[in-house]
Amino acid sequence: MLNPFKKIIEHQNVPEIIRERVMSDIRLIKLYLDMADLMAVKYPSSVINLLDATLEDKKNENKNSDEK
Amino acid sequence: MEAPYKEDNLSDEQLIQKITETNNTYLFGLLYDRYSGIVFNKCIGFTSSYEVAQDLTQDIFVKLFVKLKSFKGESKFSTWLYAFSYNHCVNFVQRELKGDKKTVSITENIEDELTDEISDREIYELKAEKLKSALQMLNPNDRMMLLMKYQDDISIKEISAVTGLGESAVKMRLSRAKVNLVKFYNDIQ
Repeated sequence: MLNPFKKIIEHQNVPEIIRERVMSDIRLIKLYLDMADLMAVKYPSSVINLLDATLEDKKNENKNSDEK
Repeated sequence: MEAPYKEDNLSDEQLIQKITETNNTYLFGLLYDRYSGIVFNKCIGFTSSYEVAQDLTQDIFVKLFVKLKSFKGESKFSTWLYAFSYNHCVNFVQRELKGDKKTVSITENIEDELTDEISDREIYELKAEKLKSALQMLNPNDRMMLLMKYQDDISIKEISAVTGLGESAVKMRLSRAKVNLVKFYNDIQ
């Protein structure tokens, strides 16, 4: 006895436009994620590194001038 | 864009791992190509509308890109994706019903009258065309349970894993869904 649930399975092709829409949407999502990562993680981390490096330079400068 | 990996031979699980590690859109496109047809046809089966199924398929794959990390490999990816897709369809149908001010209380009344268990044999004796109509009249949650069990051949254990329900709850829901289905089926002239 054939399962009637199997007989009602559809066999339509997905329109190509759906693929284009999905890929366009996920590229946008990826851009948002990358921007969020840049602004929330990478940018603050760069600023902290820059400030640390500047402070370190100033310390070294002061040390050098004291030695002179 | 050229393929950065020899990914055509990758299993679903390997492909998903690479996508979640890199958010690579090319690799996600491969996953789309593997499953879009199945998901699209499930959406048509669930909603009986070609146009609605197009929108649902698009939404499901966009949501999938964001939620792919939540696939933990506890079941086959296809099983997980079917449940993911059905859940999206159920939510959509329920929102539509709310918007139309319709309710699905009719099935609740039927549930109160439950007495006999419907056997698989009785289910297999149903006529396909009438079955299709009866499924559309069912509560979307009942429809999802029946499609997973009888169309996708997902075991009770796997349905339990992907829905987060206990096995006894799954059995109970399936049993109710079958009774409701047969009731609607018999009401169709």
